[in-house]
Amino acid sequence: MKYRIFEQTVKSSLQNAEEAVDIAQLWSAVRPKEKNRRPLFWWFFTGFFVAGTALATWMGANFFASSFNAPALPPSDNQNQIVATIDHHPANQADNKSFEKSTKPALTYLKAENAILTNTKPKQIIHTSNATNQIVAPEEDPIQPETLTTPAPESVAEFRSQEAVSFLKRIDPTIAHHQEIALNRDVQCPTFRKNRSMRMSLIPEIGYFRPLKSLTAESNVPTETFALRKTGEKSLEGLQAALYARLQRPGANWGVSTGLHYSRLSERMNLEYSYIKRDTTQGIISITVSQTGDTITTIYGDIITESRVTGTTRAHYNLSTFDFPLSLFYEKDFESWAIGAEAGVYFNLALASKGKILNSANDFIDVKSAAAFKSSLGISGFAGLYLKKPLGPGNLIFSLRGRFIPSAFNTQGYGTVQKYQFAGAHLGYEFRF
Amino acid sequence: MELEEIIKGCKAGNEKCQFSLVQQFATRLMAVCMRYTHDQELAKDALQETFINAFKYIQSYSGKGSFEGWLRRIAVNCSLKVIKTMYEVHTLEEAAIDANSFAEVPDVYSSMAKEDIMLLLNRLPHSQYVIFNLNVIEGYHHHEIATMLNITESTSRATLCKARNRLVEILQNENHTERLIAKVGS
Repeated sequence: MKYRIFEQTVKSSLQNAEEAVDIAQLWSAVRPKEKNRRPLFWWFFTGFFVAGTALATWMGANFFASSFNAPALPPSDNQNQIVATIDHHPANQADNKSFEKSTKPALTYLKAENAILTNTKPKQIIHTSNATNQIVAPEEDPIQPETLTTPAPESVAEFRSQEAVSFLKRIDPTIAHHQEIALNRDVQCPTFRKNRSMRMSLIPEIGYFRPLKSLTAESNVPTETFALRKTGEKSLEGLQAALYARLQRPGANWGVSTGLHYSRLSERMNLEYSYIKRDTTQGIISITVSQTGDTITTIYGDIITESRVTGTTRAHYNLSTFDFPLSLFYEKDFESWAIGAEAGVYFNLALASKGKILNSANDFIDVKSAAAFKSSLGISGFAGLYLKKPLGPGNLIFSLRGRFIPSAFNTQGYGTVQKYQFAGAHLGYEFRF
Repeated sequence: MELEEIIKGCKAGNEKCQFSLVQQFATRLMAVCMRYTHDQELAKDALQETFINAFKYIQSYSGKGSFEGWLRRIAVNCSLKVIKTMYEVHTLEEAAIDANSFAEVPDVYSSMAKEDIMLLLNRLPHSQYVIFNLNVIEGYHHHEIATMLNITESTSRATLCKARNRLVEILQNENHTERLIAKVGS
């Protein structure tokens, strides 16, 4: 046998060879994993929920931390009054500059107290705890400002450090001695958390808007349906709900705003229909009678009866938009109110339609079946003015806003170009953090 | 289910068709993987990779040529990837190539069982064994083998020649032949 034939034998033998394999095990290993595609909304709401939860946790943590750092003091204490003045002074919340201005009287007391702390030996501090109480009474202050050698605190952090020392010293002078040493090691406490780099607020809002509709025919020859819609379709009031998150630098007049926006408008169509209804029955249409009165011929045939049917019917459809707004705002504070302006864009996440739309001169069709509207509007712009008034812990906001939507709501080729611009009034409440 | 229907279903991501494909080709492809890996577990890994890649790239199968050939090619590639063998560069005189193509071998080798063939082939050095398999059994050309193994075409040709020479040597070995005759006789 030639070697080549041997190779052929080997080839045919091995080419069709089979090996036992556990199909079930193999299938479980190679089975394609199903991709769980989630809609865009799911991700958006999840993101929003996570952000909200994180914010709430952060706020909660801050609340407990501040409660822990600033325990309540006896009301008779003058030092405590200073602390309370700093903490609740309205200007303190406005900005750091006004904060420092407002604490000038307090700093004067602290200068005096600080002088004692720095010029007295540690052992003497214990005995001067009563003297500290005397110092804080302005009328009986035995130490003149001229005699002070320690410079006044120049920063808020330094002021806090000094304040913390005096506060602890008053509670227990022994602790104060140790704490004073600890505090001098560049430890900053307690914090009032008023000098944050950004301030955030949440604004839930509801509103009413007037949809300004423009309906034009896609072709030069408008259809009868278009003409009927143009005359008979009426835009009803639009409702809107939104949740905005605002970021603003403390003391700055401007900031950015984002969130989630929902709006819904309704269209009502009154249709006066009129058509001719034909009924056909079989009957005698002709009888021939002889002179004697006998019937000669009787002819049967279709008897057509026409009647005009008129009436009025009504149908509605709704258009809902889900948007992601992004805007800049500028506001001017006055004594007890503020006025602001905002402008930005809406990124449309989805456009949903529901209801019945005119299909022909006499009947309506479901908007989804008709594929009348797009699934997304793209980008639209908005601008507005608002008035802000403090109410309770936050602010009440009344705003007037206009929205310009450049793209048509209809799908291309539908026959009608339906565009809207919104003008509305909105009411919201600002929760500040 | 017809093969065309299965392929069409797999392209559409139909799980039933994918399972049918696995059922239909698993044993044959397992044999291919086993031939290259010589190890049950490695062969299973290669087989898994084969089907995963087949489902992933089934859209690229245009319908031209044998579908089984397409699958076998994936299986060979996956098996080679699994064993990650380094191939030595061999140089051989052109004159030596195919010198034994017409050599005589005992007739008893015309009716060997698959297991015996495998035992015989396993006596080849690994690189020779792989190239012999690719060329003789799978039918790949040397330029294809060169691409698959990242070697030159001449290396592939030379290695195959060495493998053939070695096989002829083994086949002409009397002891081995006698043992085989005895086995066939019994």
